[in-house]
Amino acid sequence: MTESTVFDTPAQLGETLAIEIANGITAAMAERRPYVLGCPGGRSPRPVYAALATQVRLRKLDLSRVVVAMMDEYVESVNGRYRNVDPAASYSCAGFAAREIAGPLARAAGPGRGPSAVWVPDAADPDAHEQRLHESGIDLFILASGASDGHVAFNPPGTHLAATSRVVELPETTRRDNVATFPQFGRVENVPHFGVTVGPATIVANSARAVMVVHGIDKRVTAARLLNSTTYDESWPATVLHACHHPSLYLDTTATRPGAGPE
Amino acid sequence: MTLALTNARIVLPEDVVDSVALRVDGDRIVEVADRPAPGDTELDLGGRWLVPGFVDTHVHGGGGESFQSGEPEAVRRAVAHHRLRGSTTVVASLVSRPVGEMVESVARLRELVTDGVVAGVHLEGPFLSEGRCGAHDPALLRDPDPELVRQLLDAGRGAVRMVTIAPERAGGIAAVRAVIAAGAVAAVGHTDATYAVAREAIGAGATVATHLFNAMAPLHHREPGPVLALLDDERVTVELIHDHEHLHPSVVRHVFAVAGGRTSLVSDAISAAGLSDGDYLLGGLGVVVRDGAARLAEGGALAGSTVDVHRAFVNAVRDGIAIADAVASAASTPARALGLDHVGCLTPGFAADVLVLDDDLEIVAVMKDGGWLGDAPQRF
Repeated sequence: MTESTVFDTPAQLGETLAIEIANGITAAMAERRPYVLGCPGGRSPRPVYAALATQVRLRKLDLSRVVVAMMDEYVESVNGRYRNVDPAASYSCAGFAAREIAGPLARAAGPGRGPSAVWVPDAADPDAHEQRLHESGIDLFILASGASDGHVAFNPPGTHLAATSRVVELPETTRRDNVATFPQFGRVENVPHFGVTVGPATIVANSARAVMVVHGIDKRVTAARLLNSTTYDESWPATVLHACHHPSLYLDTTATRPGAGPE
Repeated sequence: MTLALTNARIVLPEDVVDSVALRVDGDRIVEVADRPAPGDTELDLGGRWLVPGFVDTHVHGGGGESFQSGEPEAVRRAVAHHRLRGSTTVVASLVSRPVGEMVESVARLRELVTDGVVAGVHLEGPFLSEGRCGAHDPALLRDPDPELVRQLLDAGRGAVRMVTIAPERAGGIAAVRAVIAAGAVAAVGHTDATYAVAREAIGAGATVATHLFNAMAPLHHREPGPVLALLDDERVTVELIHDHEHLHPSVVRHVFAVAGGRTSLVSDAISAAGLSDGDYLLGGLGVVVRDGAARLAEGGALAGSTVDVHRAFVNAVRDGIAIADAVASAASTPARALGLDHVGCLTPGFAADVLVLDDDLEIVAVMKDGGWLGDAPQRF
């Protein structure tokens, strides 16, 4: 059964999850083992990343055993071959990881104490990402859901629960959601047509804990879908949360307020 | 002239905000506004934390001075020690001494309460359990005879804010009622009470647990004792000494999880707080401070602490307590528990007692009643 908690604000949601992650990092450091944090890009996890940087600074955490494992990346097809987009691109997930996750964490931790690695799936070899996550395990996977189609990572509606890391074609709904995530796209035509992503099975099989963060008025529909389901539903891949070990659904009051959400 | 403190991460009672101005006029907070008003003197805090001045409701001294005698200069120096370290409101705690001597101390401290040097007096004894005496001289502990209780309360004429009682002693429950009737707070502590007796004390009006876990019967699965009775009851504020000596961090996390809104960080500091390791006296007993931990020279029991509430607050945050919760436990919760009005919150109408903390939560500046202690910061 997925535990759900409603917070007054995204900041409170972020701080609660950040404290749990910080506690996990502290324990991993004491046990001299790595701590692998599964991370999405996008708007939903931003309050968590900001609060985690604050925790790192306040608690003087050493992150040198922390791995930031990204869940997906945009892909372009060049001469029939897939390759990750340039990390310098403003919408790149690798770029997002550097700018909004690993970079701020490294600055908060201080010289020589930042995350040891950032793992991003590679369109040229998705299996390698699958394999290293299998070997390392993921201590906690932060999950987020697409507003209009419930995609999780780049897994579109219709994804089988057994799917693992692979290159996928992004449906129109996901690409429209991503214009909101990265306004610099401007128009849906500018959003890449492909992505490399972990699969639902990657998340379920390797994560010791999974927390889905859902906040904001545009997430009312996915909040309702998640609150009204108990098992994985291919039509709404974010429901993968229910199949995970030790799952939690963290919402804010806006996302759970009664009323029709935008479709 | 109104001072506007801006560009800080301000810990308000309900939220942490970073884009407001805290406006101070004279000794009061007058407004939490979106921006300074025309004519305000603005002080940009450079993104630092702004939190209410802390409220220490259980402290015996500091900086080499004790509250025990009530001698004014000693009390002022001990208070100054704690104010500079962030506790802008201090309640003077007295350990067990002969009642006549305590009556005299209370009478002296009464004047200092009137002057606003200390916010009240806490009598930690002498109505405590010999078996849970901690650093109190067991020979001085006694049953709370109504006449003795009355003498001590009368000596304060309202200055005694709290009395710690072991309710299992003969007359213990009646003493709880007498303390409440006098307008003070009854605390349960230094006690071997059973769960049932502790519940009875709460039913009689006790609302504070004196340093929960320390100097009381531990929780047992067949006899939960005072710990669970106090921790479980919504009416009770529980004191914690979070100096990494008295409690395991996991215990502190658990208490915040189950009683976060009524957890109060106290220092229980002795005169040795802020001094180097060495030999000191506490209520006539020899105390050895080594590596910052104060223990009785004979027997080795923990004898108060050498920390201050600010250090306990930093420890709490580093141990995983959300910053707003940690601030509340160091300021508004203890203030509310002892009925200290207008301190402990960054709220209009409250005292302009504020702390500026850096990114590591260390104290950069302390404001008490609208005035900076030490050099007034011109800029940050």
